[in-house]
Amino acid sequence: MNSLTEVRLIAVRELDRLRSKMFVISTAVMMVLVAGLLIGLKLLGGSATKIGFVEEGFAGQVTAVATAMKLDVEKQTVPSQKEGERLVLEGELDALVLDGPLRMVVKGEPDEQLEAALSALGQQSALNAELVKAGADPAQVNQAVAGASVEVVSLEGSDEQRETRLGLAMALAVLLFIMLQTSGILVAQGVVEEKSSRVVELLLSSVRPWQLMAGKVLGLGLLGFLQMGLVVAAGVGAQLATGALDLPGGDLTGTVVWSLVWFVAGYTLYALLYAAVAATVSRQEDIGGVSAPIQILLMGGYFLCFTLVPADPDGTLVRILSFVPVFAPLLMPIRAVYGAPLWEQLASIGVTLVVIAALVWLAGRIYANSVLRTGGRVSLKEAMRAGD
Amino acid sequence: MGNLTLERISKSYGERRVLDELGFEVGEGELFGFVGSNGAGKTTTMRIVLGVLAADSGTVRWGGTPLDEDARREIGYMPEERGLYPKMKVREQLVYLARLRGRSAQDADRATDEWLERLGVAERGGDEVQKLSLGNQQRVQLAAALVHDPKILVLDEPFSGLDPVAVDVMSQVLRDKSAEGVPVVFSSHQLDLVERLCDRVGIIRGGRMVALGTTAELQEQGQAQLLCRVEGAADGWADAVPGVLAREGDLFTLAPDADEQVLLRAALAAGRVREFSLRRPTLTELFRDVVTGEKA
Repeated sequence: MNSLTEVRLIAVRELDRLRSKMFVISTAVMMVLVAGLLIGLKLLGGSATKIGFVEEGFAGQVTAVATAMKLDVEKQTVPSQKEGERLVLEGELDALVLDGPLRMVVKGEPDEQLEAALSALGQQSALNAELVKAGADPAQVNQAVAGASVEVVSLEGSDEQRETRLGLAMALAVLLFIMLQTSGILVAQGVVEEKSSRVVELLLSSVRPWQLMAGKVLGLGLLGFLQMGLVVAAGVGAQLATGALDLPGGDLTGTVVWSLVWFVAGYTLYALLYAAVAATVSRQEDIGGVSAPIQILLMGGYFLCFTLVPADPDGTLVRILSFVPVFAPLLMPIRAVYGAPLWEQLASIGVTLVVIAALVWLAGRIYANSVLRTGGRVSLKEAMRAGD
Repeated sequence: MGNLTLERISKSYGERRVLDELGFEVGEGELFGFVGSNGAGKTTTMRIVLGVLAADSGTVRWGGTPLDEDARREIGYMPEERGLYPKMKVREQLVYLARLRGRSAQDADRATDEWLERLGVAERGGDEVQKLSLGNQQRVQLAAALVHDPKILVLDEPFSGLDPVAVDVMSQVLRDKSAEGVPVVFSSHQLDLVERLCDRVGIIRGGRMVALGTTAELQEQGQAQLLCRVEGAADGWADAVPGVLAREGDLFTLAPDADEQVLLRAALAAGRVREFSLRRPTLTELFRDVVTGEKA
């Protein structure tokens, strides 16, 4: 039998967790949270201003001006001025706009942007009237005027974009941290379960230790990737439906792609570490203590995401730290939100892969030398040295 | 098929030598009992046969060729430390273990049902292992050793913790497997069982094989005793009989060259002789002699 057949069998056994309530519920909760966050953002952020008109013909002009001023308006025709005023008082309409002379009926304080838009509209019609009197073509003049708008060059992006990026980065940091942490712990628990139940000796009479470790890491990794994929898909779906995040499409696509890529790399790195240290203990309650250094590394990356990256996403320190493989799986996808250059992503992945290759050897050795020793904790030094 | 041969197996843990050039052979269809005190090296030997542990030196052969990974999958193994996945269902677990040893899905399914039926746990196939009684867990553990139709059986203390009915089931399974031509090695502290079941016995002490042979051969090697029950004799009637080395109640140990007829005549003179017979040592006695007798 091909040695990969056994790795596959072992991985498939781990995939059985797909049927567990824990997996289904936690995945569903995360999907709902991510989608809900985006939908909520949309609902809170830009609800359209509702404007009522008595005459439909005049509405087009108002909408055109509002759109030009990046104002989100929703028009509604009302049968009479009286009915319109009633709707304004009830809060159904934000404003009732009346023609000749141009008037805006509101409940209390007027919406400043709408007021500005309507003022512009009023000025425009006054100007048009004067232009006609002077014998000029208003359409020609307007075209010339419209072409003279100022071109904006934003060095840091608008405040609004920065806030959106920050929100997305934080949400992504939380998601990646939770996913890496829970998947890693699942690997550790699986390794110790085999030790504490003593089934490991029976298994190792059929397969080599590396096959057992590889199968477990692979199986739980597929499970984690599936979960991560579903949560990201829920986010992408909600974004496509609502357009809640107003960021350049390239940055959003980059964020999705690099999140998934870095989850795979980060999971592999941390799962190997978890598997190795878990093999040195025999009881579930010892996992916490022995894996504390790994958790500290993971949390370190998580806190860097919250402190360092938003303040200065392309700063020298952030760039250096995002090449450190234990931090990269959290820092690089967060930097993708800020549009980090492709070559940095690729170079950091490369460094991480080299470290993973070394870890495969190291973790495999520690695992093989420790997994059959039940009872006390095997010291890492012993696990490295012992040569069976 | 073929003989299972262990050649000069040595293993040390640091300074401590656990196995010292240990060797024995189990023929096709032979039931081999492996006995020794705790810590004598039985479990280490079995783990080395299974490749779970590596020997420092020596070779394990099957049919003359060194056991490799593929051949090791043909071994049915019951580790001393029993263990199955507690939360996995009995049937799924057995199928999984059979498949890990290279059996096809269909073969694994069929063999699992067969063994669950035969060991009387068929109706528990859908339950998690941890929900079963200890006795039934042991049966599943045995099924786990048999489900891939092994060509060699290596069982570490298969009888420990079994109720009398399960002991009978286990004994029958071992006999059946050896009747199929499978070499069967098992260790046990229940020496009466070993004596009854095994074709040959090996006694291990301090990592060395100190006695090896059929029960009858071992008994010949051991010192025979004379049972001599005399009614109405004075206490010290045999004190002066030449050739008597030791006496425990009615059991006499004679010097190798002594004439038992001398003892009989002395007995007849002392009272009414009710019983006079040669008594071969039991395996338990041999074991005690071998294990405690000589010092390493």
